[in-house]
Amino acid sequence: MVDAQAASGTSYILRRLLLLPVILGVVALSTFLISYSIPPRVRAVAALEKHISEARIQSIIRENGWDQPFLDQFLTYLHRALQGDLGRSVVNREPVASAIRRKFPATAELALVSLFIALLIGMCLGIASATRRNSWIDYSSALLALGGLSIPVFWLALIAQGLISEYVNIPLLGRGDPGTVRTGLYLLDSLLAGDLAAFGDCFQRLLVPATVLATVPMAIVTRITRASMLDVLGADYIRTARSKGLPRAAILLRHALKNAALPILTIAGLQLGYLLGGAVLTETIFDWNGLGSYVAQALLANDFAPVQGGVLVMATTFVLVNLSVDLLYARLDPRVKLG
Amino acid sequence: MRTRLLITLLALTTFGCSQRSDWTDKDTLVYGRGSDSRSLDPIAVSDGESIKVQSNMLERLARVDFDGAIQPCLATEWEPLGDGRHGLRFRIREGVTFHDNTPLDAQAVAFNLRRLLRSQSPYIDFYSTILPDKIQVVSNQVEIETSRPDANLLRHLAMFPAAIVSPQAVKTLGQDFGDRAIGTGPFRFESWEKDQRIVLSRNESYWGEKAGVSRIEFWRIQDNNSRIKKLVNGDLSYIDNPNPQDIETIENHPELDYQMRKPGQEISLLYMAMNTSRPPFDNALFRRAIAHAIDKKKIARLFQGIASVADQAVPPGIYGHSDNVQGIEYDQKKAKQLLEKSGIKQRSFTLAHMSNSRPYIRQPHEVARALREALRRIGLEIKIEKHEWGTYLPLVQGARHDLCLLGWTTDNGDADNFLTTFYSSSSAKVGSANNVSFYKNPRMDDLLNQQRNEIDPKKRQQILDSIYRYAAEQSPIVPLVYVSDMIAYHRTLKNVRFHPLGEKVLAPIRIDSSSETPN
Amino acid sequence: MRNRAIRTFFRSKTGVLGACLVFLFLLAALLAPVLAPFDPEHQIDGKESQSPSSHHWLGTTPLGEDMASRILHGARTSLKVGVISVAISCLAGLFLGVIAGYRGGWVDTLIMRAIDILMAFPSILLAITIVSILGRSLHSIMIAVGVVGIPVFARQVRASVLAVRELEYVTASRALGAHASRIVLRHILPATMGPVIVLTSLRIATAILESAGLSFLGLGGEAILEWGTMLAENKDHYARLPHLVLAPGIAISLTVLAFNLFGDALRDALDPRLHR
Repeated sequence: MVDAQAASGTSYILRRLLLLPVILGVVALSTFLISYSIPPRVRAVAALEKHISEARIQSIIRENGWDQPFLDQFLTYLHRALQGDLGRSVVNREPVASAIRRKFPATAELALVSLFIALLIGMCLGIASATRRNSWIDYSSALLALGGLSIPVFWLALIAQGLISEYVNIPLLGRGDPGTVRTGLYLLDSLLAGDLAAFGDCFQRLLVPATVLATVPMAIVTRITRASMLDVLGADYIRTARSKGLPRAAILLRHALKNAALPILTIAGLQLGYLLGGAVLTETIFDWNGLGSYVAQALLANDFAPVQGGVLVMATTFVLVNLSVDLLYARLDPRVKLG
Repeated sequence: MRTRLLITLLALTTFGCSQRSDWTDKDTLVYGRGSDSRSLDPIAVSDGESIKVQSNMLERLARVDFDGAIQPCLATEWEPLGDGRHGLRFRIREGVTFHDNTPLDAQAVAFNLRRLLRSQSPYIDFYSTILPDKIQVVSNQVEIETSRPDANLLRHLAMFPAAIVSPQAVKTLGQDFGDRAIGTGPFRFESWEKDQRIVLSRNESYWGEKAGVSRIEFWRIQDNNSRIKKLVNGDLSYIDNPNPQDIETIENHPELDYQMRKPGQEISLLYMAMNTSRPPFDNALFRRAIAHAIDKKKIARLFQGIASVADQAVPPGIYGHSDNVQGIEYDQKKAKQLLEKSGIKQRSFTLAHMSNSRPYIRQPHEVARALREALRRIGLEIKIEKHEWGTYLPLVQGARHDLCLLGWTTDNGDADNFLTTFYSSSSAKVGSANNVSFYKNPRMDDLLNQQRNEIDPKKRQQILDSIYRYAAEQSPIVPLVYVSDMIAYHRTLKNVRFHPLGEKVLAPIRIDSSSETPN
Repeated sequence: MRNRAIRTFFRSKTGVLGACLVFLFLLAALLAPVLAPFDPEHQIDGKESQSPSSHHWLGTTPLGEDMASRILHGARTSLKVGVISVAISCLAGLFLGVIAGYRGGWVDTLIMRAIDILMAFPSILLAITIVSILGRSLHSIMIAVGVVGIPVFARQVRASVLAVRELEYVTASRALGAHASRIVLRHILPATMGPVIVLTSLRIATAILESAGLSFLGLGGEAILEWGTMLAENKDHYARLPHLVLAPGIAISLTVLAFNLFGDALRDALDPRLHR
């Protein structure tokens, strides 16, 4: 991800940041083109339900300006979007911007907790299998990782939901109630409010979807951790440390893990980017009211304002997350120069 | 410190703060349903999910009770206008206030009726006889004059589009009225987190008997399967339309109960329409061949006990259904003969269906596959096409299909609503048709008009019977099954009842925690 | 070199297991019409909703179709989707990657920035978008999954091209005045083949997963014999007929596992440095 050609870090950051509006412009244009390519009549019908009349179709088309020339429509859209107005859903007339404000934290929280679970389990398994190569733990964690990569997440979600509701008394409805909503991340909100019971409740509701969603990143983290630990463990300085009689745990944590941290960090950043946009199926199955299922359902219903707004936000997040990972990487590893 | 937090966390996770009794403690009805509402404004919608919430917050001049009779509501009484004028005079109930504390009066009622008549409500045709200029307020009475005698006027004023909402709120909220409607009902609007839940709270100053629970939460749980799971684990206390295959789970569960509309009282029809604007479906013999080929019993079996075989277009729970007509029987031999006789050589067609479940169909793809197999057995090759509801309706209403699956649930409880939808040339306009077989026949139109203008019930039934017989002969649509609806709930909920028109009247429900079986 | 690779591959137990599973899968896919005990679409009257038995190994659907036959035929669909969609990503990725890597300069910048933008779309949403433009069908799903996979190939190919572009034998033949297309065909393409083969096997796994997810969302269009579609169709019967939900899920998992194992072992064999 980091080009090796050397240049000064600041100009690199600047270039990347300057690229952001370009990318967003292209994303905005392409999502707009997509919705433009669907006939206005079809989009208007998305607003109606059982009874459809020509008069209502026409008035919806007029209200939304879908009868205007392409350029007018696009410029109006851009103009409004720059002011933070992303239009309204034609289905329930909710402003897209406020829907995103509500749903993005839900997705972010799910993604973060899921990544946390993936890192926790993945790194433990990776370290264990690197230090005990070819032992049963190595084989079983390799198997687990392969399973994580191979089992369809939506299938796992279906089965997990069935099993949980059958055997474990965990609420699966909604995200819970953190008291006052400040950040929209309910775990954080409930902690800020000092309400441990609310925290526990929100945590319970989050746990199952987050664990299911964690399977793929967990598998990847396990593999990366194992591979980079093996690289490091073979290195000279570790052998030196070992010969000096340093305790095993100290070697592992202070030396080996510290050096294996970089690739893990990179992969974690990449995975976070994917988790933020890719949890469509998990969100749908668990009725998690997040951004992924919002956009997917709007797409399926020909309701395009949510699609345009949602994808724009996701793309921005994705680019920003990747950029911060690059920067962090350069910060942690003095050998890396940004180019 | 860190360990203590961890232990707390673990304890919370494993033992839980017992969600099960949560709704009993909070005196809350936690209602799970398949989709969110679209709007809370009565003149803006026609979807069941919007109506469901509205009818617990908003009231009409009259209402239909659990036995199907029309009862006073916001009007205490009514009488014909007399003096040679057609229409009704309503006396408005006194001492009623809207949820925003503005008073209900005759002016407010007139305001609402004029608003309805000016609107693009999908139901506007039901009110087409009302003369907008002749809605008059006389002290606390409202006179509604119609252009001709309209036997259904009262019935239609008791329907949800004619709900009376706060004029003050309509003026101040403008376009946003649909986000937080304000009426006079037993529940008032609390909050709406779109795509997720709507919360209503008890109207403590309700004019009638106060609601049994202090709060209702309507949750959107799209997946049928997921809804029943959440009912079982206690997240929800009441759900719509569980899958029939879950009846067994509910019966075996000590804390759960269910109700379904009984056979013979269904108000929904599932049918297959043939696009008669496209050859060879303009050939009645060919259409009848197809109708004979379909094993409706097998299709009914797919509904696992919540559907029965349909022999006419009007379900048995609807006024005007006939017990004296026989539908087209399943007879493959006859189907093949008719096919031969029709002279149609084309053998391959498409069958379009919606991808998602609707109130009248849980598993559209299974019904479609059963139909394909049935037609395959008389030598027709059917290609199935699946579409999301949002693209499906434009497709079939734009006449871009051969065969399609669709259903209808009553709007007003009368046969005319079904027959006009299916057979009238007036609803066959390409692009916005409800008559998706695009069937146009002057003789049928004439029969439809006759029954509409006939006031004598016996004579009207005779006309209706002849319509059913003629419809079978013509078969632009094949009525497949009458579908029942179902609800499931925790036994701690008392007074759960089915409404004959499918409305969800939740005010009488209360939670009786004393009878809860111990965990 | 080649012999060594084959030997390395066959030394890996998991690789052999993967290869066997892939072979079984191919066998099932190619011979489904012969192997399947019943016509997967035929509805047997009176045999609806059966549990697994010696007659119907995986039971029957509520319509009376034999589930085992449906699963076998599902392998055909998965094979088709996997091969075609990966072919799309692979060919487009090769084309773009080679041009970007070999030409360099503004062409490179343009292509790579376009790929960056493509990657900024969440892949599943990108796929859903493509399907909703093209219309719901298996073909749309194949194209969508194919397009989503292009960036991975393009980046990998470009990296391999960059690695060999300045090698002596390439610069030498350029100095000798060889035509660009000849250089690409003779020297550049062969150098990219190792990683591309590995990537192909791993992408088939991903493609099968992604297309199953898309079909699960109902984007498959017509009633198709596809595992993700079967999952979606049968999920409401889970409580009563769990095998109807378990069977397609396991089928997907095993197939994807097979291609993953196979791909991993290939990578170890073809390019030990490619450890990720």
